[in-house]
Amino acid sequence: MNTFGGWLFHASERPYIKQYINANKHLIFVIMIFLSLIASGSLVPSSLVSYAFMAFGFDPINAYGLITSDRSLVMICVCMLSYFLPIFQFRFLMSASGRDLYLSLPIKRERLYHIHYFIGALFMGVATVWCGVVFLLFHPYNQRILVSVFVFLLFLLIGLCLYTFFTFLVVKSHSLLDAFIICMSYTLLSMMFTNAFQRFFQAGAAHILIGNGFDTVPSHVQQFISLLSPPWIMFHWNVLFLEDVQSHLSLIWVIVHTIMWMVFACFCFVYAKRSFVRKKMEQRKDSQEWVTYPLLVPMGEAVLILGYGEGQLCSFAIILLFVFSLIAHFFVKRKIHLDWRMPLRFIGFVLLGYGLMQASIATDFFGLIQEIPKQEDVEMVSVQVFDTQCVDCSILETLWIQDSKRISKVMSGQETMMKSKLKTMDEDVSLIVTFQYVYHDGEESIRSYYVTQEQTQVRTVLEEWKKLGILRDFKGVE
Amino acid sequence: MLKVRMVSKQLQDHPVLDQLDMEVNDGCIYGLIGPNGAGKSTLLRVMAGVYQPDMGCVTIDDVSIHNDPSRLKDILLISDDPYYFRKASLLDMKQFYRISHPDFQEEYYQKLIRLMKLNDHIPLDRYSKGMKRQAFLILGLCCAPRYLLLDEAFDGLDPHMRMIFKKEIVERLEEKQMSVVISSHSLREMEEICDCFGILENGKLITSGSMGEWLDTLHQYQLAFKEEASADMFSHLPVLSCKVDSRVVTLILEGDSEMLETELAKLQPVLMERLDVRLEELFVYALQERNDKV
Repeated sequence: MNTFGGWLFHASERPYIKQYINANKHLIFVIMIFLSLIASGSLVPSSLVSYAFMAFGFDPINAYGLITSDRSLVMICVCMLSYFLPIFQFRFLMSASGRDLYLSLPIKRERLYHIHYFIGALFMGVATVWCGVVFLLFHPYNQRILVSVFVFLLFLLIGLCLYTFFTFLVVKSHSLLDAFIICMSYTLLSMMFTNAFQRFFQAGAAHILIGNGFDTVPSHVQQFISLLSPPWIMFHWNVLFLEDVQSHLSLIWVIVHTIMWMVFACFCFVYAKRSFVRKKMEQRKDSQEWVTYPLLVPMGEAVLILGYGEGQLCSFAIILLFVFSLIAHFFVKRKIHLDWRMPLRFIGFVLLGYGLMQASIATDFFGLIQEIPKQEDVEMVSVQVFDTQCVDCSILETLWIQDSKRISKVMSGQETMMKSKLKTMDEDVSLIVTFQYVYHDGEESIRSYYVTQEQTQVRTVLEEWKKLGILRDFKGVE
Repeated sequence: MLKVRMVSKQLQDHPVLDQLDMEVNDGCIYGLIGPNGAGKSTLLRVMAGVYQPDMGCVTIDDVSIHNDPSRLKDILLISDDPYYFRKASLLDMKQFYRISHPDFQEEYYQKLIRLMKLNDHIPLDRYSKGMKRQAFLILGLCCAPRYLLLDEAFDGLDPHMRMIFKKEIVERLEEKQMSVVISSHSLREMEEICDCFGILENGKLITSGSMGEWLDTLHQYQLAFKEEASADMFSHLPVLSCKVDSRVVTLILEGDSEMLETELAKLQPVLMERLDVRLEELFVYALQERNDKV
C-alpha cells in the first residue's frame, strides 16, 4: 500500500493531514512556545515550584530534588495535553454541523478515527520530546541527563496511555461540555477515591483503636488504589530516583502500574475506534453510554457518602449530599424529572456506607489494622510516657529500641496498656503512653493509651521498662 | 443515478424515515418539500452518509455508499448550519473542500467571490448569516460534485442573491452535469428552479415526479355564478380541491384542459377564468389529501 508516515497514514490522506496541520499551525505554535517556557522554567518561578512540590511532602532543597520538582511542571503539562488534545481532535463529533461535514467526507470512518488519533498522538510525542530537550538545555545537571531522558520517555508513554483513555471517553461523549466534564470527572474521581478511602480507613481505625491510637492506610493498599490514576504513576516515576522516597515506593509496583495502563490504553484504542465507527451520530445530546454519566454519577455518590460521610452521616450531611446528587441527576438528564431509582440508589449507598463501617469495625478493617504488630515486622520502636498530673516530671522517652529482646518487652507492655486503657480521657487519667513503631518496609504506626498509675500492672510494666533502660529518667514512676 | 431504496431511520426511538424510495436523475434539480419535521434534513444526511439507515440503502450507480464510502466523493452536503473551523476564513474552508473535491473550479470561485463581493481572507465568524450562506453555496458550486445536496438552501439570502444563485445553479447544472437536491420551505423558489419534486410527510414521499408534467395535468379555475354555488355541482368532475365562497368557486382539477373547460361551461358560469397552479397549492392539496385519507 502506498503510504507515507509509515503505517500510520495512507498517501491519499496526505492532503487532508497537511491541511489539518496547516489550519492549526497558529495553535501549535502557541502551545510549543508555552511548553518551552514551562520546560525552561521561565514561566513559573522555581521557588513557587519548590513550594508546590513541598506540598507533596518532598524536600526540593538539593539539586536532585530541584530538578525533580521542575520536571513535575512538565509532567503536569503532559497530563494537560493528554486531557485537552482528544477533545480538540474529536470536537467535530460534538456538533451536528461538524458531523455533517466530516462524516460526509469520502474517507472511511475507521481511517478518519486513525488520522485524528494519530495526529494528536504525534503532536503529544513531539511536544513531550521538545519539552525534554528544552528542559535539559536549561537544567544542565549533566550527571542526571540519562535519568531525565528516561523519565521524559516514561512521561510520554504514560501521557499517550492517558491520551488514549481520554480519546475513548471523548468518543463516548455527545457534547463538548460532556466531554470536558466526563474526562475531568475521571481525573478527579480517581484522586477523590484515594482520598475518600483514606478518610474512611482512618475513621474506621479511630473506632477500632477507640480513640487511643491512629493508623495510616498501608502503603500496598494505597499503591493498589493509585492504580486508578496515571498522573500518579508519572509522579512516582518522577520521584523514584530521590533517595528519601525510595523506601516508600516499590519499583515493582510502579512498573506493574505502567504495564497495566499500557494494556488498558490498547483496549481503549480498540474500543474507541469501534465506538467511533459504530457511533450513531444522531444519538441524543446527553451522554448516556455506560462509561459516562451512568457510571460516574453513582461512583461520585458512593465516594461522597462512603468516603466523606465515613459511613456515619448526620441527617444534615445526608440532605446536603442528596441535594448534590439531585442536581447531578437533573444535569445528566437535562431536565428536572425525578427518577424513582435515584433516591433508592442514594438510600442504598447510605445504608451500604453504614454497613461497611460496621463490618470494618467488626473485622479490624478486614485485617488491615493490627493494634499490636507482629514482632518480625518491627524494625524499631520508641515509647513515650507523659504524666498529665505532674508538670515537672513529664519526661518523654525518645530513644529508638532496635534489639529484639527489648522490642518484645515493649510489645508485651503494650498488651498490658491495651487491657488497662481507659476509653476516654477523664480526671483519672494520669499517664498517656504512646508507642511508635517503624517497620522493615518503612511504614510507621502509632498507638496511644490513657492509663492510671493506680493500676498495679501498669506500674509493674513501667518499672520493668526502667530497669531495662527502655525508659530513662522517668520520675513519675519513683 | 442516486437512488434511495426503502430507507428507514429512527431518531431517538421516533421513526423519521419510513421505507422511503426516491430517485434523483443525473442533471436535474430536485426539490424536496415537506412540513417542519417531515424528515427532509434527515433524508439529506442519510444520502450524504452522515447517518446510517436502519434499513435500506442509498446507491450511486447501484453501488451502496455505505459499503463503499469512496463514492461519497460524488456527493456534497451543504447543511443548514455549515461547519467551519475556529477562526477559519473562506479561503481556509476552500482548501479543506479541495481535498475531497480535487476538481475544484478556482476560476469560477474567483468569479463568484467578485460577484458576491465577499472578502475570503477574513474569518467566517465575521460574516453575517446571509454571507455565510453565500460562502458555502459558492463552495458547493465550485466543488461541482455529481450530487449537491442543499439543506434550506436560500435561508438568509436577500432576494437579489437568491436570484443570482438560482441562475448560477441552473448554469452550473448545464455545464457540469450536476444534480442538485434542494430542501426549502420557499415553494415559490422551488417552483422556479426545480425540474422534479418530492413531497415528504411523516417520513414518506407522498408525491413525487416531474414538476412540468405534473403541473400540465393540473388546472385551476375560478368561476362566478349568478346564484349561490355548492361543491356538489362539480361532483362529476375530477376535483382535487374546491373552495366555495358564496357565488365564487375556485377549483383545481386534474385531466385534459379542453375537456374540463367544456364540462365547466355546461354549468353556465357568468365568469370562468383559468389561473396558474402554484407549487404552494399543490403542496397544501397533497397534505390535505393525505390527512383526509388518514
